[in-house]
Amino acid sequence: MSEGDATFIEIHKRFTEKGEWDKIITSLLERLNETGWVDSLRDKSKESARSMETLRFEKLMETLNPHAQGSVPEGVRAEFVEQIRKFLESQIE
Amino acid sequence: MSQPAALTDQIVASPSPPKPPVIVIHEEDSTCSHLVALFTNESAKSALIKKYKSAVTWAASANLHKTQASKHTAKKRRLASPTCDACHVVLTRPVVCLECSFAGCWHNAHAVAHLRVSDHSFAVEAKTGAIFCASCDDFVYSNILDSLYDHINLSAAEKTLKYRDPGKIKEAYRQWSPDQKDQDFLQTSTTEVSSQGRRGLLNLGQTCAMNTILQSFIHNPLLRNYFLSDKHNYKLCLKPKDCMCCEMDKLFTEIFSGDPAPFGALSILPVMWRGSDSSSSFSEGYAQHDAHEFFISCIQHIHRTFKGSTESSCNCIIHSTFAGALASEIVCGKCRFSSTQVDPMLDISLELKGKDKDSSADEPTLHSCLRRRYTRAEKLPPKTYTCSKCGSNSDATKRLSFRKLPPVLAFQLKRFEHKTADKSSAHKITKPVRFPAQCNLAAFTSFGSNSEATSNIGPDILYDYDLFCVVNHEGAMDNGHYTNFARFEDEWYRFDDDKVTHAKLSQVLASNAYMLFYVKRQLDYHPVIRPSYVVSREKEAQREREREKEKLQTLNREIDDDLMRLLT
Repeated sequence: MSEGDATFIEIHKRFTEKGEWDKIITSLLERLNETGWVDSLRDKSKESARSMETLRFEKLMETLNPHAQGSVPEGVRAEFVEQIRKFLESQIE
Repeated sequence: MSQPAALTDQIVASPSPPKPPVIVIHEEDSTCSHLVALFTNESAKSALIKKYKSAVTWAASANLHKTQASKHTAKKRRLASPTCDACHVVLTRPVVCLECSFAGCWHNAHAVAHLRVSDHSFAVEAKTGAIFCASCDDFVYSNILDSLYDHINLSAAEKTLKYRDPGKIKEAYRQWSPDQKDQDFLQTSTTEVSSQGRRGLLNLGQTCAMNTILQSFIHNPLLRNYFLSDKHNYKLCLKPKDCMCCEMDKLFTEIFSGDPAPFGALSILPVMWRGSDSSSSFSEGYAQHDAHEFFISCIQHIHRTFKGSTESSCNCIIHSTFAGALASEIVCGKCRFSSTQVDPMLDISLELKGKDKDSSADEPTLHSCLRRRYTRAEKLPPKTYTCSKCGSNSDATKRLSFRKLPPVLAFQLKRFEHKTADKSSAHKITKPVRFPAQCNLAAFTSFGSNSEATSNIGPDILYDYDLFCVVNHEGAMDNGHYTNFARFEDEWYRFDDDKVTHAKLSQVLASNAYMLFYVKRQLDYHPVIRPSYVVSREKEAQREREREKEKLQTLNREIDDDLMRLLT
């Protein structure tokens, strides 16, 4: 395991254990639902799955991931990156 | 007032004596032949189900604690988070092996690697309950595990729900399963029909507004269940003349008859005309109707002809479906004295126009319309309110919130603007409003918007709503056409009078909505009580039996006496 991985694991651990992870996920989902991101992804997943000849989870994920990542509204992305940065800074002396 | 119990509505649980909850396990139905093969071995099956149960139960209760804790920073609780047995990353979504104690991550494929290396067959993603089969190399479906997952999550949430009585937890939901007697009856005396109830409605001459509202009733689970369970039978109604409940019962009978041809709701129109107030446009019998106006007239009419309906705190089918309460709190700017008035509501009308401070460039959303009206304090113009405590009449603020959320929430988006009383000068606002397929309304309740009371608002599932019908108005103000979308289970359909077509969710959400219907995901219900009429009927029957017995005894005695006399 590289040093970078170990740092990531440690920070990830702090995120989850301090409840910050769930707080961010909850409010992120709320925001994304209001912007229509959740519904559009749900619709896209369903229609892609319907049109697949043999339904495979991995394949579905591959088609959806770029869309899901790319369609997060800029404002929401910036806001949450900032929130994560703030927490990170508070954790690093 | 701190209890969310005030949000409880009037749905009565089935009046059967309490039994331990039973999980109805149907016939096996799975996409995975390996799982089906494993389930033929009873001991392997119960071992796997036991493991599945414990993984999902753990995730469900951890999830509930977290959502509670993330809301209230005061009671932050540290939960020991599980880590991946291979890379030690903290697992926010653990994948648990169903044959040993391994828990791993999905992201770095450690969970799948474990199944391969140790030759184990199945793992579960504990948060969603999804089963991964190593032989299929994919997630698989099993109806048994699927219903088990729903049951576990529901009972975990139920443990945190409070009842009307403080301190008591909500009674567990029990699925009805037919006993032998019911089953025999169902097999011998009934024929199965499709439960989908999807039938076009003929346009009887500018009745598209009516048709869309009737489709919204047909797809409303509470109204549908009421009429399909024969609670108002039009053949047994004592006052069938102009009875709107009878008309609804006939409508549901037609829709679920299995006949695929479009149906003309002919008999509803004259009943509507005769039953409406003379002020409403329905008495004229010809006007191009407004769907919202028809909705209001129609539910009022059903309410009026419902046996036993009352003017206040009515428990008719309309009020137990649509009724909620709004609180308007006025705070005096001078002495901070607040007075709250609670008013009943059957639907919510939302203004589309207005100053929007928070969404400068964004298009309006259902949430932004709600926020503008239901969470923000609004300054009252001076001299419109006089504080009853200090007598000041300036600087007062007013805030609206939901005091009681209804089981079905009907929204009207005010697209038609009437500047004057003259209808010809009205115009239509065509700007799109974004609305979600699912939403959570906790923030708009009297509890959610009050930061002190948020710790009492209970789990999120109390405030989750699902969209089931959208009414659209196409075209201009005076010569437009109404259509609607409605959902059956997870599929959407577009209804344009007699034409019914399959639709995608994206079409529904991109449509220019005029009315939206949401249904609450978790209905509240009263604890099981035997209805008083059943109790009194049983007592009466018991007394009757005793009287019969007594009569028989006297008769026997008399015969005995007669016999004795004969002998002596």
